[in-house]
Amino acid sequence: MKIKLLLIYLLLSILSAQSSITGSVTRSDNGEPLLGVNVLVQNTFMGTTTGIDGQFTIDQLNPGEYTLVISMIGFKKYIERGIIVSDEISHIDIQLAQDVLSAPHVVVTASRQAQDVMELPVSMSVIGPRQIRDRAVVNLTEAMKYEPGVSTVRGQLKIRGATGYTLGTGDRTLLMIDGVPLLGSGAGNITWTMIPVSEVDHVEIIRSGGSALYGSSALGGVVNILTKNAPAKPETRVRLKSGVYSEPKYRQWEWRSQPGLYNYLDLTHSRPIGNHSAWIRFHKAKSDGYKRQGWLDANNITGKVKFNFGERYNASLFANYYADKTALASQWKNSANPFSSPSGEEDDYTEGTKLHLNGFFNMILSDKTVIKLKGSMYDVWWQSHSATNDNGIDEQKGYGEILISTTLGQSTQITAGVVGQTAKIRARVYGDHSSLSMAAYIQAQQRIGKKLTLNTGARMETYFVDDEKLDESLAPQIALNFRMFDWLSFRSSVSSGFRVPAIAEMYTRTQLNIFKVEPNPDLIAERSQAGEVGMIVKLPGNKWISDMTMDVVAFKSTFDQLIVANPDDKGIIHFENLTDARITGLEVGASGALFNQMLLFSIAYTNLDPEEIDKQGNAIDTLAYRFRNTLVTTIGTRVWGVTASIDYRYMSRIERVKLFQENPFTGQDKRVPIHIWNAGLGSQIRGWDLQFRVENMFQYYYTELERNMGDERHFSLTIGKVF
Amino acid sequence: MKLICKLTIIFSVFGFIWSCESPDSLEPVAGVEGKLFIEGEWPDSIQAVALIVLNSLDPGNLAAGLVSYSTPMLSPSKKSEYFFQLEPGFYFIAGAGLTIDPGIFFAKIDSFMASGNLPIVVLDKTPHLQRVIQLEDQEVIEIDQTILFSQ
Repeated sequence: MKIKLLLIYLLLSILSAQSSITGSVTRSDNGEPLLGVNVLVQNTFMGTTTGIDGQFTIDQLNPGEYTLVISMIGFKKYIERGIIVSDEISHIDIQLAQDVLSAPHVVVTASRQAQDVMELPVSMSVIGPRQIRDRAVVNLTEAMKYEPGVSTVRGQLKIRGATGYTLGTGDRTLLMIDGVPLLGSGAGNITWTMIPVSEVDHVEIIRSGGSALYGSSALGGVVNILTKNAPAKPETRVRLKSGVYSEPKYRQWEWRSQPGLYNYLDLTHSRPIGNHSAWIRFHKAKSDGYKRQGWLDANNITGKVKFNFGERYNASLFANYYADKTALASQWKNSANPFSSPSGEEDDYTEGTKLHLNGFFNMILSDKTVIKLKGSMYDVWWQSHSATNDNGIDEQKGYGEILISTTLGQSTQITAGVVGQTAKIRARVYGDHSSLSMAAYIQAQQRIGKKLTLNTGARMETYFVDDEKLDESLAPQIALNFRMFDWLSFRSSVSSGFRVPAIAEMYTRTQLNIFKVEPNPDLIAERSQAGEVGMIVKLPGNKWISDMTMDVVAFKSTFDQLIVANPDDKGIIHFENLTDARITGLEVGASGALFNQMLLFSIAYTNLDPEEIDKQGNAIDTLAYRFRNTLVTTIGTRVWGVTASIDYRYMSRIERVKLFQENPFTGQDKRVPIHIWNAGLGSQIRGWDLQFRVENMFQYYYTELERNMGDERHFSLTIGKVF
Repeated sequence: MKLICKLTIIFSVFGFIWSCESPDSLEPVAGVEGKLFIEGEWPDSIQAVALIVLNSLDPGNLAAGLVSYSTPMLSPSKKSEYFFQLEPGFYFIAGAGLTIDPGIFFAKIDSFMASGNLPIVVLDKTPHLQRVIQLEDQEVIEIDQTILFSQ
């Protein structure tokens, strides 16, 4: 009995000894409260975000001395050291100063929880609102290809060369909106044009492949798009981007009498509604395109409601409806007419609708335990109108996830969840099929001392197609971060990944230009093992060099049974588990400001060695559709309230393709390295944001995919205003 | 002084960029384009028709002079368009009939070329098809061709 009383006394003593830090965060320029500011307790997993009144509370802290890290995109990071937590509640008021250079300091994708970028166990790029706005981006891939390790081939995103060009199917990059996957279930491809770019808060790109947290398709990386929450005051935003394509530089290539135009309109209204908040956005896109079959006509309505049910419950509902008509093009007419279409295909087009709903419900059980329910629904209808080949798809996908995250003590964080995903597809080229996947995952994050963070995790996933079990995969991961100083950290990770074949890869039967594609239902999942070692340096600097960040990483990935579209000796294409592959590489990224922030710069270099290998690991050939060297740089300046920037993008010649080989005797299907220069000027006049840009300003002509000319030079003016 | 420094840097960057050349950019090409018509009934022995381009015309060894070929027109089509990209120079252009499945022909063309034995016949009943052309740099010549099969 005495022992029991002693234990109860000790427990009560511990509980009563725990205390809190409360505070408020406001803007330094006008004193307005800031919503959604990240407040982290350094060297612990404790943290929170500010509410609509800018207030925050962090409970259940043991007595001691703490450091708070307060950050928000667009504001300078603030560090409050030496906060003594005792029996009484500690209170601090913080003012954040605006900083246009500021990139996000806290990310959520790497371990499904808020985390300082210096403590990440894996390689990650973050694209903030400044990069999106300064480039007047309407398609996020335009901004993403300036990040180390990221490139595109005809709109298909590649991270560290994991994906080549797969005829628009089977992306090895997982796209998520607010943490919920967004993929077409049939082709497994990404529809970038339906992303509401004007309402994107920031984009987090995990460049390290692996499926431990996010499952199939994440073996080549993850792109998580975080949308904005409504601000504290009602506002209406309008943005119009209008532009014109240049005529081809060579008279022989001219193909239309009038210059091609494009217009993109965004209209958004956002407001708080009691404790809740919401925004709705209308988007219209109309483009003549730079080539005969490059036009687009699309409408998009997107909305998001964020519910706040007191301190312990919140929820979000996101809806996106997209309808478009788009020219359908497989290749150019010929190399003498690279902007024209093959005869008979000049009027081919597709039309379709996509409806995407997603949402989550957060239950904060205690300051240390959160349960999150996620769900999404994706409905796609698509029809092609072609003189040679009519296709159509009707598919529905459902997704559900339960996630629990709990902190044990102040140094261990456990995240675990179960996921279910189902899809039904009816397509002329695939037939009728269904799929089901179920997964469970767990990740533990352990602080070892003040400098070391260890991540271990695994995911088990089972996949069924047409009610038959197709595959079962276990994907473990282990990762380590060593934060030697506030400004220097090292990371290393080893992970495995997998991707189950898309239904399109298994069952497509169609004619693709002169090639016939036939089904291969015997496809199995491809698997990968990836490892990396990296470091990140962040230096505050002085008036000559400031905000300096440098990220260097070496990586190696191996792929087993990679699925490749392969023409056989009769010219018939099958998707096959054709090859094993190994990609080794180096990424170097650096950014900062020079001369008292007069010049801003960023540079990203990627070197890949993409090899097909045999079972013994000997190199056989180069992987198709990969760039061995990629260099992207941006230099910008701000003078007299005007921002100016110049981008340069270099990609080495693609060494190997699958469909049309170079003919050394005739020069046909020549492939060249890519050198693209872009420039922009921006200013604000009487509350109106103005951006003038020219893309591909020297009219460099190249192909990323055989017989498809890359973007022609185009000029644009973007005007925007917040009311 | 500060302003001069800023302007110097900005104009230096612009000057450097404008001085950069892009020597690898794709440029207009030379070649022959046109329409290919079939008149008459396809013989059973011919599975497809293509135009071939040769830099020397040796009926006994077509493979030795073969430079390029058009996308084959399958039986019983009557009309198609073609384009050959070629380097500047002299060429012979002729109609040819494929005596095997065109898919197999193009999949195995390297081995046919190596053997010097192409499974094609020059359609010599239409002698006007055998033309000699001269191409200049970036010049595209338009020639419509008609192949006459026996009625």
